[in-house]
Amino acid sequence: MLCVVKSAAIVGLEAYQVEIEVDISKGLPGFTIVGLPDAAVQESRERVRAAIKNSEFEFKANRVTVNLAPADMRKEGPSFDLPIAIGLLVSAGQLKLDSGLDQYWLVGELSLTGDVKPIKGALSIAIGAAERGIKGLIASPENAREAAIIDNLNVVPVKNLSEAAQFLSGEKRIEFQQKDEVSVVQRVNENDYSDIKGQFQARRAIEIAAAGGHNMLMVGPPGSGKTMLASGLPTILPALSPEEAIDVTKIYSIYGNDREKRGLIWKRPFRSPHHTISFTGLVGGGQKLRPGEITLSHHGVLFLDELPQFGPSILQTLRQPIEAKEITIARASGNLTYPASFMLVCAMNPCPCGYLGDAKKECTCSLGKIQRYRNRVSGPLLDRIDMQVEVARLTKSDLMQCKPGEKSEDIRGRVDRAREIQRQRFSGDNVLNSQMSASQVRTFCQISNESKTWLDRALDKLLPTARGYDRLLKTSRTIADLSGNEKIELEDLAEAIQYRSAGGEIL
Amino acid sequence: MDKRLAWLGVSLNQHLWRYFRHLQDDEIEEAYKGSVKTTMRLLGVNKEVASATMKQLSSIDLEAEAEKINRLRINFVTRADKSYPESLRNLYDKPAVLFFKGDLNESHDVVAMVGSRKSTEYGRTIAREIASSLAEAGITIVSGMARGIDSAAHRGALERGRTVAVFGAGIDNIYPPENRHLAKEIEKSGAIVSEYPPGTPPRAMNFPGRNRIIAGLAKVVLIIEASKRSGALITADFALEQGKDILVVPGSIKSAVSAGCHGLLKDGAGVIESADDVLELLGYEKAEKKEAQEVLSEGETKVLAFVDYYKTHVDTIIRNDGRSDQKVLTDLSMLQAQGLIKKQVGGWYLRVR
Repeated sequence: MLCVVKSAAIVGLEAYQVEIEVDISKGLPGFTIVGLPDAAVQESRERVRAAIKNSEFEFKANRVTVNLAPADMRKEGPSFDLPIAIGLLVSAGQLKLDSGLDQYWLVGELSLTGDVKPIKGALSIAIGAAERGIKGLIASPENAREAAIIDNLNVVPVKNLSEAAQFLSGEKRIEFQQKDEVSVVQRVNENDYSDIKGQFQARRAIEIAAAGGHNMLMVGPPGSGKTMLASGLPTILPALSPEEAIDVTKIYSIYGNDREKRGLIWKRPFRSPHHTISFTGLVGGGQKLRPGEITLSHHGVLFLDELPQFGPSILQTLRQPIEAKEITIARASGNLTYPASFMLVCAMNPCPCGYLGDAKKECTCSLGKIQRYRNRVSGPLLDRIDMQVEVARLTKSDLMQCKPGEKSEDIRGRVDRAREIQRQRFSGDNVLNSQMSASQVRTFCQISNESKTWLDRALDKLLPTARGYDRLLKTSRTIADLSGNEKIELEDLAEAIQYRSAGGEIL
Repeated sequence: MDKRLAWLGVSLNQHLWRYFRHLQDDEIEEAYKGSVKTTMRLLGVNKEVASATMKQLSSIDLEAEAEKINRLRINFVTRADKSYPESLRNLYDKPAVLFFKGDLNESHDVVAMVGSRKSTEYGRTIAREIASSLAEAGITIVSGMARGIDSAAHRGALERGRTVAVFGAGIDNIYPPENRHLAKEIEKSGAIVSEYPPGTPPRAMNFPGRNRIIAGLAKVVLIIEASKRSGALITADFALEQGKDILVVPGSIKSAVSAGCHGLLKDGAGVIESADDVLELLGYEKAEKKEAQEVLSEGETKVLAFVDYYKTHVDTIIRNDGRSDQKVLTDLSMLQAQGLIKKQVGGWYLRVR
């Protein structure tokens, strides 16, 4: 007898439907799975066999054929264990169905005892099911909590195989999983900006960058607090919107490193990969097709410490995603697109020894060495970084004198207001000042004639190596938004100039 | 036998030059043509050395060498030439040949400006300012085109007038390489000069020799910034030997790159506070003051008071000022635009005027 069970698999971040056809016929006993299964799917035979036996059903010695359709897509992982087992039970006549099996997607890994275990990417699968008008999803309790976020989908949590069977036969009623109460956004006060003393200019720069979503580069000697400044960013960025939270949760659900954290992720991601990271680690891909760091920092912050150490070719790969806000990975089997809308924050030393321009320690680098070091960061990448700021080491007397800085919460209030202004300006399209197109810059970043003359006259004194006039205007726009100016005033422009050309002329 | 070519011959080879450097102009031909005996007498060497030297000398194809130098568009002037710089003629151990590009004319007064390669923004700003004012008064600035003070002096002089750079390498070997463009600018109005034949690489041993030419060409030597062991002090020694005036720009007593200058001051060198001091010494009329007074806003005046001539960190300025960081940063840009302060690596600001 033949039975068809519906399940799902994931490509990129999206789920697609997999129909699992189970056929039992007479003949030599055997268990075959076809339809491009990988090793984990093949091993599913052993788990299913044991799980059925240990759930007080019978595994009869017959000829079993399982087909995973569509047969041309490669299937990975243990998520088909549960649907295969259910299909077998139905085919063998051990399970009488109460309602139609085609109303549900079934996903879950089975342990030998018959327990259902969580799988990766439950949220994407739930979204896929809801989009296709499927009524319900049957999954492990852990996955169910994650999937329940999605409206218009009945999520059935099942602890083990027999519970799943009892539910489908109508013997047992199971309450649908309820949505977690997540309306209160929890902010843990780690890395609060009140912990950072001094660093006035850098703090101000961070605030502007957060308000306009500007990419940023911090230049300073070792121990000046660049990492601390950057890691505080999520505390002053606006809270994730529900849609953004779903996007982020989807990615982390598929990445699957923290299955402990169920429910929606409300914290903006902050990713800080080490500079030895590989191409696939950064942009995603690999044999198992996993999202890279740039996708993991979607809607959040990607922090690259020791920027020149990353090596030119790794940094080159960042250029396209910074522009496109997504990354397309081309494979023989087709293209895959991951979202990658992140704020790039980089940090580097001013020179190889790190102490150029330091108050105490003398720099020991030759001019050539410094130039070579700086050249490792390519011009095209720097062209995508709106703001540069220098961070100095605090001296002991600075530490004694300085009052604690402003709290993150207060800074976030100003950032939120500036973002609201931007939302109105771009009439709802989720565009930030940093993402303006050239034509938008012309429309929204007009400066008065007085400012223009001032800039023309002073530019060679202020920025001897001036590049990127547009970026200057974008930063000015954000500064104006922060101070509530409708037009960019001369003072906004003048301040914006301070965030260009960090590192300055070497000579 | 062309005397010019004769001098060229002996200067092409450092080994030969060691023996021939003491010869007078009228003796050089004799040394070429004469017997081993004459050579022994002129050079004060024994028979073996004399014959070896002569053999080496005769192996040089003088015409071809001169042609080679011509092809590089490099000029040369020898002790035998009328156009040989008068200021160098009385120098003990004067170069036999000067290779140069540009114009070596001596119708201007010459002032040398030297200083450390590792210099501060303060020193470079002063060097640039003084060089510019002196050049405007018609004085030629001579220096060594090294990094730091030297380059700043050349740049300053080019803003208003003429400058000469003396190299420690062949003049086709521009060192440091980032000054290639500067060298091009210098030859347009002034000259780049070297006593070393084209192709000589920059060698540490050649630099003191260059300093004697710098001191020799100048009437007055200005030392802007020099640490205790700076090459600029070698130039000062040559200037003393040649009986030239030495003027020094003082710095902070805590600045290591001014320690050498302060040493010179203790030994009795003069102090310069502005280009006027130099002009006065040379008997020029004082330059007219024509400083335009900037109109500063209240905030700008306040911020300016916190920026000193060495360097002040941006965070210190913000803390001292007490207004919002936003206002202070704006005023800093404004002051920068007016050329009153300058930004430096590490978030430092310093007053330049």
